[in-house]
Amino acid sequence: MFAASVPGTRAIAQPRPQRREVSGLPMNDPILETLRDGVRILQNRQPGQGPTWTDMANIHGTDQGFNKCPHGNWYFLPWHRAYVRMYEQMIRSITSNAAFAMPYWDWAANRAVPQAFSQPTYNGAQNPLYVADRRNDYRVPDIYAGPEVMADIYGQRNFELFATSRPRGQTDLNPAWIKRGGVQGTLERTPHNNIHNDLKGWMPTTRSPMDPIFQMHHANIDRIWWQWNARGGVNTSETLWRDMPFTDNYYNPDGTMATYRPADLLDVEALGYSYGAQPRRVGSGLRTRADVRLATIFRVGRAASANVPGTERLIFQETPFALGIEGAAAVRGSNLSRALGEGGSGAPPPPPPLMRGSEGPSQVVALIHNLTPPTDDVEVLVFAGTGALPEATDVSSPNFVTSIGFFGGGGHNHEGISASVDLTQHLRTLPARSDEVHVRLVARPKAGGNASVQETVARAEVEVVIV
Amino acid sequence: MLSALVALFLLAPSGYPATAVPGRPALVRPIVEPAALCAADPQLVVSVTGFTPPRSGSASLHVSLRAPDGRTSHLGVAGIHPHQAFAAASLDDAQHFGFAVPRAAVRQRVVVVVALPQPAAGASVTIGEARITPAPQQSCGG
Repeated sequence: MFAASVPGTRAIAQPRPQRREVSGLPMNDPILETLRDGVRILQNRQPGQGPTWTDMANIHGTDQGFNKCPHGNWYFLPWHRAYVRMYEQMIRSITSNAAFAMPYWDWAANRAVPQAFSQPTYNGAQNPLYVADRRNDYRVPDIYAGPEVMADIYGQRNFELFATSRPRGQTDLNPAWIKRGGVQGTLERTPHNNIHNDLKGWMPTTRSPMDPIFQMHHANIDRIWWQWNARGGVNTSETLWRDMPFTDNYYNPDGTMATYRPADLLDVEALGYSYGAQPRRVGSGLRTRADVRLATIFRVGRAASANVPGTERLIFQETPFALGIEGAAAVRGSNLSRALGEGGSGAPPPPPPLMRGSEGPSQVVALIHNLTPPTDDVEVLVFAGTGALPEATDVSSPNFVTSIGFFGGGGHNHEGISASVDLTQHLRTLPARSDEVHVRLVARPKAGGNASVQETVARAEVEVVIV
Repeated sequence: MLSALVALFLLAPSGYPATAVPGRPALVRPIVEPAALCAADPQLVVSVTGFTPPRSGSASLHVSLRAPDGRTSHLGVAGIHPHQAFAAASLDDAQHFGFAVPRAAVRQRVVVVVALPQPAAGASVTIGEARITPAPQQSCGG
């Protein structure tokens, strides 16, 4: 995208750092290390050394009230998208970690305050993400982010009902409208407002960005907007929204000020980050072929038994090793390239699924069967790539995809536990190496545990399907 | 007898503005815009013109509709953010919250109930208006 602005230079799409759910990150995850470092540096900055933590929060609001930030109107979402990105870019710059992406707190899925924020210390030092007068034992209740609330949010088809409406009576692009109120929809009035208020400390106030959990909260709001778009929600095309300038509302990492309009803020990848694979489109009654094929496989249980036309099931050769199993499967023809993009892995992802139409992109999915954890104190790390995997078995490996945890798994039935992992987006972000998909499962005790873990994956089987 | 009369009085809708405190919800009859009668997606807009937070903790507004037969349907929850006292000089300065309402409710003489669930001692909220409107950019049939 940026290369495209240089005459004669062919645009080269680079994978964007992916924002990840903060509750699922181990405390020593490099993303959390960078976040702690970045927040600490900004909090310790002195005037003259560049924008400080307080300077950045003051953009949002001061003791006198809200400053630049709009609430209660249709600029709420784009303004905060640029605001969270400002912190992300600043932290990338001051920590020299270009791979940093702001995590998010998916409070609909993980109701407790993330551990990275609720612990006063980390490794014996003060944790800069901790705020003492925040309610660190808080759990988000159903009335704010339960399934009914989230269904109401994602089910909305009208942008102004989803994202809060235009200021009452707006007729032009005078910036004074940014501070005028519209009608708050469910997303802003319910989870946004109430989680702010309930967390206490800085969060109920206009100076809420003084608390680093603000960024987790608003990155999740931003992710919900992204998901809503990906599921077929359409932003308004009105110029009163698209062209309103947020003039000098944001710091660049060098301390100069930046201006954006909502129209500049619609494509998160162009803004330098991603949220991973596009979510499945829902609500329109139309489903992609990949959705339908996967649903059929899930009904039957195994791809081998489902025999779904149009699906390629890869014959997986497994090899046990000390901590788990590893296997590889060769892909026939160009199906892998088609699923990952014309250039194979490392290529830019295809456009998001269309709201109308039923073809949609292919997906590469690992179906993992017969996990038999002896207790719940075990997790299974999933690594994947094309070509042989390097030796690393740590979550910092670029081949790390996800961790499978267990609840009530210690009493597993004789058939074991199954899980599915969508590898599509992960493989797209890796360099293309071969037409073989490699998957490795590594069982390990959870932090602090000493459970015997090998049994967990001793009889595991993996099916890789391209649907 | 007197307590029954007081209870009846408290359950009757009042005019605007109406104030809710914990244990005593605000009951108001919404203004129904003519265009809402035939809108595909009518919504209730509750305009809050005043708010006092509780002495401790936080308070959210629980909004529901009461039908003429007494049945009540929950519409949703709204939070006032920032969570600090405010008083709007006019409806233009109010905080407005939208809730989807069933089309059938538009033609009934419904009552809007805005409650501040306990515990929220010291909290109050003033409803400047409740209005049923078409969804943004909708008109009759749209």
